[in-house]
Amino acid sequence: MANAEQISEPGVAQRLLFSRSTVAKKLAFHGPIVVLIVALLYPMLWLVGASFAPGSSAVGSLPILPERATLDNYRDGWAGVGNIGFSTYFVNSMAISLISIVGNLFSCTMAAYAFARMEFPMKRTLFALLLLTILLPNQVTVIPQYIIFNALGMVNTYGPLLIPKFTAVDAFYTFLLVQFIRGIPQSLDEAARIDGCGHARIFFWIILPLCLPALATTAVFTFIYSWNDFLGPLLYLNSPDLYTVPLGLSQFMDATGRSMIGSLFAMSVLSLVPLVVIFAVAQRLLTTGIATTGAK
Amino acid sequence: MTLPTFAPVAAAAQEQELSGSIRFSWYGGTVRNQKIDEMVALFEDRHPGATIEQEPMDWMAYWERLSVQAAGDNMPCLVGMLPFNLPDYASRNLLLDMQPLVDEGMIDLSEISDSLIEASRTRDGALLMLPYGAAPDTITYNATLVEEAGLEVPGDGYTWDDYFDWLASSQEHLPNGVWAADNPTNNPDLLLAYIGSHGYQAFDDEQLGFPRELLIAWFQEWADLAEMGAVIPPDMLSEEPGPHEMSYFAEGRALASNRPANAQPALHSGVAQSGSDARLETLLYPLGPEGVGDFVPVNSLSIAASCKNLPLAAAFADFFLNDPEAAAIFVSDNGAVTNAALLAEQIADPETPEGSRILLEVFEAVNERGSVPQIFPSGFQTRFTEVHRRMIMEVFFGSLTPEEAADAFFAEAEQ
Repeated sequence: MANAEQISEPGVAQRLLFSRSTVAKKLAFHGPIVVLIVALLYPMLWLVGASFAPGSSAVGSLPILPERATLDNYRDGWAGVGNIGFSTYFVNSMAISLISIVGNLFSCTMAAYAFARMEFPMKRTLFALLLLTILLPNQVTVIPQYIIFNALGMVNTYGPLLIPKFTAVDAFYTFLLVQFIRGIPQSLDEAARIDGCGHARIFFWIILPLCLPALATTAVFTFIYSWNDFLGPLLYLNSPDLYTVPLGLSQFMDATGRSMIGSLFAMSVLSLVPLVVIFAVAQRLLTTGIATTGAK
Repeated sequence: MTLPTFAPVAAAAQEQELSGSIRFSWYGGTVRNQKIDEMVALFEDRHPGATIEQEPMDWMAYWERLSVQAAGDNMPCLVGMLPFNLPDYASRNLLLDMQPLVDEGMIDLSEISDSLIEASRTRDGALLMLPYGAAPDTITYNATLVEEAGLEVPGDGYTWDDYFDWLASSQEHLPNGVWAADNPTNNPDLLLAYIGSHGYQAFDDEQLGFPRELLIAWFQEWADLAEMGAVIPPDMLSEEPGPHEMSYFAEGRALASNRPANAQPALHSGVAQSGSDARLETLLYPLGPEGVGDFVPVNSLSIAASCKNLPLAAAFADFFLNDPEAAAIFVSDNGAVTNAALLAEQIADPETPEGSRILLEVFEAVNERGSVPQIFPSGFQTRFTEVHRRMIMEVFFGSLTPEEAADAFFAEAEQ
């Protein structure tokens, strides 16, 4: 036994020494990162803390935990205005975001397949035009677009927010998918073609399953943008019962009267929940999608 | 049979059958929207065939949306309007001249003072706004600070010189980290009052209506105050949060501030939030060589020129301005009620909240003292308010002299 201990001693010592230095290294590496993350997360944590503080008492105070916690902000905020509760805004936002995802996945993938795999006249010019629309500032198109939708009688409906998604107007996603599809070996298409597949089957059976990371990226970003969009809903939705979460949140602020800052904090926290959940679920796919398409 | 003389003229219009619907858009937050929702319900109960479609929106976003609606020919029938923004809509003939509706007795303005109605007219006399909530400005000061520092407050009829002297002489008695004045460009009203009390208009059509020397004098006064440390330093001013509740003044770091009287409730809650028990008091604006110069911005209603249902728009506007039950719900939520009878009622009512009472009393005093109507050109906010805000910061930072700032102001305002 003693022998065994003697034999093993240097090994133990070595192991200890080794693990000590490893711990030190890990501390040196992770310590600053943890400090940095805490600093970055502070505003977020402050918001969560402030949402439980009575009224707007948290404004101007630095500690995260309120002295007295209450759910009043959540209760008042959720009750909303008149007969419209905040749940209405959540349902509206969720519906718009989900339909936008369907629209973008449907239209952008098809457009991307055409640009990546088909030959047709003016292809290069059209692709250049598509990319040019990314550079077009939003302000230039806002009013003409509004006039068109107004003439179509679509103002105060979800049409102007949803129909464009089914026509691949979000050129960024089309570009992202084109880059991704170009990375898929042509030999797969050719093999499928020899087996008798046409474009439709190649698209649905070969390309789409291989595009999963890019599809996830498109879905998540579409969700985030439409969930956070303020200007579109502001212009096209006039009746409060159609409002989305960002419009609902803006109701709590009043530059010309009394603001309900506590309720604003509480509902802001709730409105972040879907974003955080989606991001946590899709994080791995997202990084793959972005890393492999060169859209950095 | 004749109607009794005290019956409002508009009653005749009210009796006709109202039907159909109009869209009504205004600026405000949850508190105001709740009240208007109740008012609309009351109106719709009385007129079962009529519907008011409500389109509320927060102040900044409201103007953004309205400008796009106007450009897209889809304005709501009835819209909230302010004198500062009116020219942008009036110059494009987007609003209805409501004088004929008043003449026909569909809208009753008999309880609203002539000066407010005159101030709501354009240069050619068209009545494009119905003033419902007056938001006069005041010098609000921290009475607790005044007492602690043993200061005097300027008395009635004090002048601009008295005001600037008061700020300058107070500074040395104030504790560290407290300044006599905050940002004089919180809103354009202080400079407008300075110009008006010297007998000038801000604008004469498209040109500025006052001499360059007056503006130099104005910048010089503030430059002098800043130099002696009586104004909050410019680097702090540029970081000041917008809402009244979060202002330096509400935090107790400034002795006096020019604020709209309807900001009183917000200021009071800001003081409470910062954990102080400071008392706030108000002073009417200083007088100039030509006496009173106050310009009173009034929250108003306008009817779009494109409105298809005028009887309903006029009836609801009249109800919004004059109906006692509606006023009892609204309680001057957006400026002091302009209807004199309702104003007297709300001042006398013990139920009226403290913040609102200060607003009503200030408005009564301003109304008694008189005010100077202004007619603004289109783009007033960018050509006057924003330029003023930038130039005063340049002066505070010392990057422009008062003369240079005045030159730059004229160059930008008279494009």
